[in-house]
Amino acid sequence: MVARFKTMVGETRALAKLVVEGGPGGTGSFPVVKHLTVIGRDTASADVLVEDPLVSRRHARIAWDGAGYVLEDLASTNGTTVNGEPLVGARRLEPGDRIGVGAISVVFEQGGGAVRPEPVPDDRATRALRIPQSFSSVPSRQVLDSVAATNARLGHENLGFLSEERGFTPATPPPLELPPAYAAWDEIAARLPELWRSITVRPALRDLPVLDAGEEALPDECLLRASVIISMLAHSYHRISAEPPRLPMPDGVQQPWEQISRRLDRLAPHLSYSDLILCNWKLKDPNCGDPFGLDNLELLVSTVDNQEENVLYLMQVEAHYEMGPLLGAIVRCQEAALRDDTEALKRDLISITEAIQQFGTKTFMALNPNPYSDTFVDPVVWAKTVAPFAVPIAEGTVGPSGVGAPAFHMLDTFFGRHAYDTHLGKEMLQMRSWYPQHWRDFFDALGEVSVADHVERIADPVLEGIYKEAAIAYAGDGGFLTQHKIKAYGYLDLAFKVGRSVTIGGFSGSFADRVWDLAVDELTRSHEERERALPRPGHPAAITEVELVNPDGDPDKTVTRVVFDVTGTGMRYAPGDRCAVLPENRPALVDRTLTALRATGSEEVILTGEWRDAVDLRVGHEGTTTLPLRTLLRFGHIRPVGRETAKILHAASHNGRLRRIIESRAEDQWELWDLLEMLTAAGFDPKRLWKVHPGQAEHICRVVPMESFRMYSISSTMDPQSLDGAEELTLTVGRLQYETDDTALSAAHHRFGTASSFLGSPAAVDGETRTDVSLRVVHPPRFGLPADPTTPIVMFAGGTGIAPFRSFVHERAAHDSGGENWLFVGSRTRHELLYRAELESAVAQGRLQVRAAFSRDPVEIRFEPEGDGGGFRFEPGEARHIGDEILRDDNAEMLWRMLRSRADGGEGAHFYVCGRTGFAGSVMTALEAVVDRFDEGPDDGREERVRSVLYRLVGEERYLQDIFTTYTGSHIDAATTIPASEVVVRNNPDDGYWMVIDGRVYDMNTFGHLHPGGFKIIQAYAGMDGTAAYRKVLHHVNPEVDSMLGMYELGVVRRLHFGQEWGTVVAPDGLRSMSLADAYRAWIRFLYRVVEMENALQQDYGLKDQTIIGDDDPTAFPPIKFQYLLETHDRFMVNYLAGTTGDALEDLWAVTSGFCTSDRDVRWMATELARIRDGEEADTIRRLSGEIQRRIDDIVERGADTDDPTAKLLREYCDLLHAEDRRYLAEVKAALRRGVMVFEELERDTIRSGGHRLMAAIEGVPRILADYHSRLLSGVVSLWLDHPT
Amino acid sequence: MNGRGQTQVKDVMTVRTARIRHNSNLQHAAELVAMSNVSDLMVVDDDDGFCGVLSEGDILRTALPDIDQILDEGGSLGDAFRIFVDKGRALSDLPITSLVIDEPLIVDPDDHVARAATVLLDRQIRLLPVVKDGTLVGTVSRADLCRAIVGTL
Repeated sequence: MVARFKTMVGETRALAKLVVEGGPGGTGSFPVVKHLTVIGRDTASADVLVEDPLVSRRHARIAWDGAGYVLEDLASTNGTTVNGEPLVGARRLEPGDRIGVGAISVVFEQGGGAVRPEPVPDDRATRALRIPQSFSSVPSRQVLDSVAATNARLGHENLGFLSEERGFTPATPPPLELPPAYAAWDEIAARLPELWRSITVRPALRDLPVLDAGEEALPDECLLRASVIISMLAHSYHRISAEPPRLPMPDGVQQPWEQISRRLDRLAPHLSYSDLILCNWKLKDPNCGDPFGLDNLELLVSTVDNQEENVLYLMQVEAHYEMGPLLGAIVRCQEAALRDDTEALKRDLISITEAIQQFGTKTFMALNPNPYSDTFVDPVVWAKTVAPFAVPIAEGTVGPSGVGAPAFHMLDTFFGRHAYDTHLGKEMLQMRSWYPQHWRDFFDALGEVSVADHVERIADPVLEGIYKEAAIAYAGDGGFLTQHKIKAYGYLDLAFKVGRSVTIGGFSGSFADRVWDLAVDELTRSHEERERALPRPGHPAAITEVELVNPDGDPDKTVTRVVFDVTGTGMRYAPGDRCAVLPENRPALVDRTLTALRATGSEEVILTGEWRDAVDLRVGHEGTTTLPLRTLLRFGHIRPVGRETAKILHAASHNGRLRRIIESRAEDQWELWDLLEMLTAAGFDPKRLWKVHPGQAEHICRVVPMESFRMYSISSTMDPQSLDGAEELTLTVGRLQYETDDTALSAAHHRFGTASSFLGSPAAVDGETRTDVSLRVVHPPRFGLPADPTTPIVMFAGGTGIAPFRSFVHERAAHDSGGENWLFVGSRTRHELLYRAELESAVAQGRLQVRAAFSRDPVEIRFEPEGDGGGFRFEPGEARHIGDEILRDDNAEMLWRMLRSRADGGEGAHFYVCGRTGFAGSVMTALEAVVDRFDEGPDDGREERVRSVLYRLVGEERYLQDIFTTYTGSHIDAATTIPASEVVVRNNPDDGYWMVIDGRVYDMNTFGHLHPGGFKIIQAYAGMDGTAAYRKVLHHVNPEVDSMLGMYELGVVRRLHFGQEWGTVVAPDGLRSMSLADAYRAWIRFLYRVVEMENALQQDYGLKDQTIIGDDDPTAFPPIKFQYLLETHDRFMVNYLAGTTGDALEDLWAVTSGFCTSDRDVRWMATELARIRDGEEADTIRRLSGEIQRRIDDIVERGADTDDPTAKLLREYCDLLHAEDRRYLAEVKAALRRGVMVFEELERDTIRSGGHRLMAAIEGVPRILADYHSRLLSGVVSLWLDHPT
Repeated sequence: MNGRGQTQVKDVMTVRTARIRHNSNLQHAAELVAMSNVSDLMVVDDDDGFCGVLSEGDILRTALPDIDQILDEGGSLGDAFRIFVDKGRALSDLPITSLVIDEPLIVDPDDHVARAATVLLDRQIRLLPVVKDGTLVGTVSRADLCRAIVGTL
C-alpha cells in the first residue's frame, strides 16, 4: 500500500509500522500514523488491541516527538520489554527493535529498512492474540472506530458527529427541548421570527435571564441544542440591523455562549456549521419514506423563517445526510487501496461518483432561483434577510459558510488537494482548526492515505479512468464545483447589489468595485487550485466504425453513426449524457494551410502557455512544449477564421480589405489558408507568423487558437452495473458543409465543418490514419431520464437531434416499467428518419409511439404491425413542419394530458427537446398553442396564463432542452442592427427586457422565465451589455445555453465608425490625446453603469412586495420591512448618488469638454457638484435617514400596528423615496443616453457637428442632482403637513 | 499663447510635402523617399484627395531577406546584403497599395498646435498629415512644431 505519513503541520513524518508475527491471530502489520499510538487491552482507547490478560488496558504508547518515535510504558502491571530488556520510562525506538507486550512481540520498522520480524520466542505464544479489525486498517477507519467507541462511552456526540452511515450528521435527531430550567431559552428561540418582524430582538435579549450553562447545570446531551439556540440568539442580536448594537451583548447570551464554547472545546464563541445547519432540524414525520428529504425537514431555530432561510439551511442538512454514505465509501476506498483490492476500489469509486452526481443533479438543485420552482429561493430576499445573518460577529472567528461544510473538506482531502493558498483555500484551512475534535482527527487521518497515488501505482487504465471520473465529477470542468460556482454567481451578484455588502467569507465593498465579480473570481481561483490535483480530463478512444445512417437522404447532408471503442477507459455514461470530442483538421486542409504559410510543416513551434495547456489534453502529447507546425495546425482552429485571428492579422498586415472584412464581421467567410493567400498576394509575408518570437502578437500560436471540445449527445447505452465501464460509445454526427460567395468581403468556396469532417469521414477508421481521439463525458445537470420510470416522456427530435433519444428509447425499452414514450421527429424527408429500423422495433414492442413531420416530403407516416414486427408506411399527404404535427387534434389532446402535472389531472410527463435553435423555438410555440387551445380561463390575461404554464414546466424541470446551432455560413449584413441607445431603455416591464451579449442583442422577456438561473439575475443585466457576467458563469463555453439564447436574438448592436478621429483632453498628468472611439466608450460605459444601478435599485425596492418573515402576506408591512427599505435608500445615497456624481462623472466631463471646447475649466463639474452637495437642501436630505430611523424606532418601541399614524407616514416615506430615487437614476440615464445618441447619429462627425449637444447633455447632470434634492425635500415637507405627528 | 498668430497647425505646417499617387509602384516610392528626405510619403489620388501614408520603414521591411532566403543563398552576411538589393529591385514593380496605411491619424489645419504636439508625442509618430475636407494641405512634424513654438515663446 502507498501511504503518506504526515504530521498536523504537513511535514513528512518517517514511515513506520509495527509487525506482529506468530500467535493464532496470524501475522499482521500496523502502520504507525498517529502522533500517539496506544497499545493495550482497552477496546475503546487502544490503537493496537492485544487480547491478553497479561497486558494492561493502556499498556504502552509510541509517540512521535518530532525527531523520532519514543516508546513509553504506561505504568503497566506486567511491564514492557525492548529487545528482551525491561523498559524503564521512555526509550527512543530504532528500526528492528522488538517490543514485548504481554505474550506478544512486535517488531518496529521504520523507513524503507527491511527489518525481518523474528518469531516470538515465548512459551506463552499459545495465548490468545487477537488482531483487531483496526489492526490492518487505514487511519480513517481507526478514527471512525474510535469515534464510535468514544461516543458510545460518552453517550453524546459533542466531540463531533461522525459515522460511516450518517457521515457528518448526528446519529440521533437533535433534542426538541432543553430541561425545564432552560425553558426561557426554548421560549425565546421560538419567538425569534416575531422578534425579527418587530425589530425587538435587542430589547428582548437584554431581558433574558442569565442561566448557567456549566457542567454541573446543563447536561452534556443538551449542550448542542443550547449551542444552536444561544449562538443564533447572539447573531440575531447583532444582525437584526445593519447598525451594530450600541450596547454590548447581554449577559444572558454572552455568558452561556462562552461557557458552551469552552465545553465544546471551541477556540472562541461562534456560530458554527453544526449550530446553523447540522444540528438545527427536526423531522416532520419520522416514519416518512424519505425522512431527510427537504419536504420532511423543518428548522428547529429560525430567524426570519421564510422560504429562503428554510430551503437554504435544510437543503444543506439533506445534502449531508445524502452524502453520509459517501463518507463510508471514501474510507472503504482507502481500505481497498491498502488491501490492493482493485475490484472493491472500483466499486466504491463508482459509488462516490454517483453520490456526487446525485447531489449535483438533485439535492443542490433544490436551491432554485427560478420563481416557478417549489423550492424557489429568491436571490433578493435571501441577500437581505438570510445572507448577512451568519457573518461572523467577532473578528478572527469563522462562520458557517459553504467553506464550513465538512463534506467539501472530506472530498478535497480525498481527492488530494494540497494547495490552500487562495483566499478561500486559506479560509478552509483556518476552518479546520475550529472544527470539533472528531472531524479534525478524521480529516488528518484521511490525508494520510492517498488513493490517487495508489491508482497511479497500480497503473490499471480502467481504475485510472474510474478515479478520473470521480475526481472530475467533484472538482473538474462541469463537475459539482463548477455548478456551484455558476449558481453562486447569481446569488452573489445580487447579494452585493442589494444585500448588506458582506458575505460570511467577508468580501465587502461598493458598487463601483464590482465586488460580486471579485467574489466569484475567488471561487474560480480556489477551483483552479483544486484542479491542479486532478487527473487530466479526457480518455483516449479510437473510432472503430463510421456508418451512414441516411443512405437515401440528401448526399449534401449526410449523417453518420460514429462508434468509438472505449474499452478499458473506465468511462461511464447514462442516457442524456454528452460526449465532448477534441477534433482535428484533415490532412488536406493542413497541407493547404502550410502552403499558404510558405512552410513545410516540419518547423518546430515553441508553444505559448495556453497552447501547452491545450496540448496537454491531446492523447500522446501530454507535457509537450513544442510542436511541429503541421501538428499545431492539425490541432488548431483554422476554419472559419475567428475575430481575434482576423484582428491580429490586420494589425500585422494593415490590409485594407481585411479591415473592411472585420468591420462587416465577415471574417467567418474565410478559412485561414485563403485569407493568408489573399494577404500574401497584397505583399504580406506569411512566414512572419511562424518565424517571430513566441511572445509576439502575430506568432502562429496566437493567430491559430487551439480547437476546443465539441459536444455531441451520446446515442448508445451502457450497462450501469459493469465495473469496467463502457466498451463502446456511439455518436450521431451530421456532416456540415456550406458555400461561401465571391464578394468583396468573401471568396467563393465549398466549406466543411471541422469536427463533423473529422468524425464523420471513413478516413477516420482507415487503419493507417486511425488516431486516438480524446473523449470526455459530460453529465448535464438537466437532461436525464426521470427518476421514476413510470413517468411518461415526450421527446422532440429535429434532424440529428434524435441522437440522445436513441439511448432514451433503448434504456426505457430495456427496463419496461410502464411509462409511456412518445417521440416526435421533424426532418426534411422520410429518408432522414434516422435509426428507422430500431424505432420500428420499439414501436412493434409497444414501447414507443412515433409521430413525424417531413417539411419537404408530402407524406404521412403510419405504423403497420406485421406479425411480431412491423414497419412504417408512408402515404401521400402534405409536407408539414413539427408545429403542424404537434397541433394535430389527437396529438394536441395527448400533449395536453402529458403537460399537466399529476396534481392537475395530467400525466406530469417530462418533455425533452433536442434540435437546432429554430426547431426548439417551433416546438415551444406549438406547445404554447396547445395550452392555449385547452385553456378554459377568461380571455383576460390569457397570454400571460398560457405562458406561465410553460414557465412552470421549466421551473418543475419537466421541460428539458438540448439545443445546438449548426454554423451554415453567416449572412453578411443580414442581421438587424440595433443602436445601444435603444437597448438601454429595455430594462423594465413596460419596455421589456433586452440584453447585449458578445455584440448581439437578445430579447429576454421570455428567455428570462426559462432561464434556469431565474429572472432576477437576467433583470440585473437588462438594458446593458451582460457579456462579462455571461462569461463569468461560463455560458459562452456551454453550447446549450448559447444555442438556447439563439431563439431570442433580435439583431446585432450597431457598431459605430469613428475612423481615426481624436481629440485632446486635460488629464491628471497634463495634455493627452484620446481617440474619439475611447471617448464614446467612456460615455457608453457610464450609461451602462447607470442602467445596472437602475436594475439593482428596482430589485432592492422590490422587497416592498415580498414576504420577509414566515409566511406573511407579501404586501404586509412589518417594521423590519421599513428597516430594509430605509437601508435601500441609504445604499442609494452612498453608492448610486455618489457613484453617479463622483470621479466617473468628473472624468467624463474632462473628456467631453476637452473634445468639444477649449475654454472650459476641467474642474467645472467638480466645483458645481461640490456647490450642490454643500447646499442646505443636500444637508437636509442627508439627515433624512436619521429622521426616518427615529420614526421606525418609535413604532418599534410602541409596538405600533399598521394603522398607527406613524406607520402610515413611514409607508408614504418609502413610496416617496422609491419614486424619487428611481426618478433620479432615470434622469441621469436619459441625459447620458442623449449624449450617446449624438455619437450614434454623427459617428466620426460627433464633435464637429454635435459637440454642443454632447456638452449640453453632460452639463445638465448637476441640475438633476439639485432637482432631486429639491423634489425630495418638498415631498417630505408635504408629508409632514399631511401627517402632523 | 501670444498674439503673433503662430498657434494653429496651418501656421506651422509644411506645405511642400512629399506626395505620391496611390497607383504608383515601389520604385517610384523609393526614389521619392530618397529625394525628399522624409520618413513618410503622403499618398493622394488623382484629384489630390488624401488616401493615406506610406512609410519608408514598411518599404525597407519588404526588402529584408528572411533566414531561409539567406541560408539558401549561402548564409553569409554578404549573401544577405545581395538578396536585400536583389529583392529590392524585384519589388520595384509592386504597387504601393498594400503598404499604404489607409486610415492614419490626421490633423485639421485649424487645430491648435498643442493638439498636434500631444498626438505626435502620445502616439510616437513623427509626421502628421494635415487634411481639410478630404484634401491634403500639408504635413506637420515634431520639427515644425519645435521651430514654431520655441521661437514664439
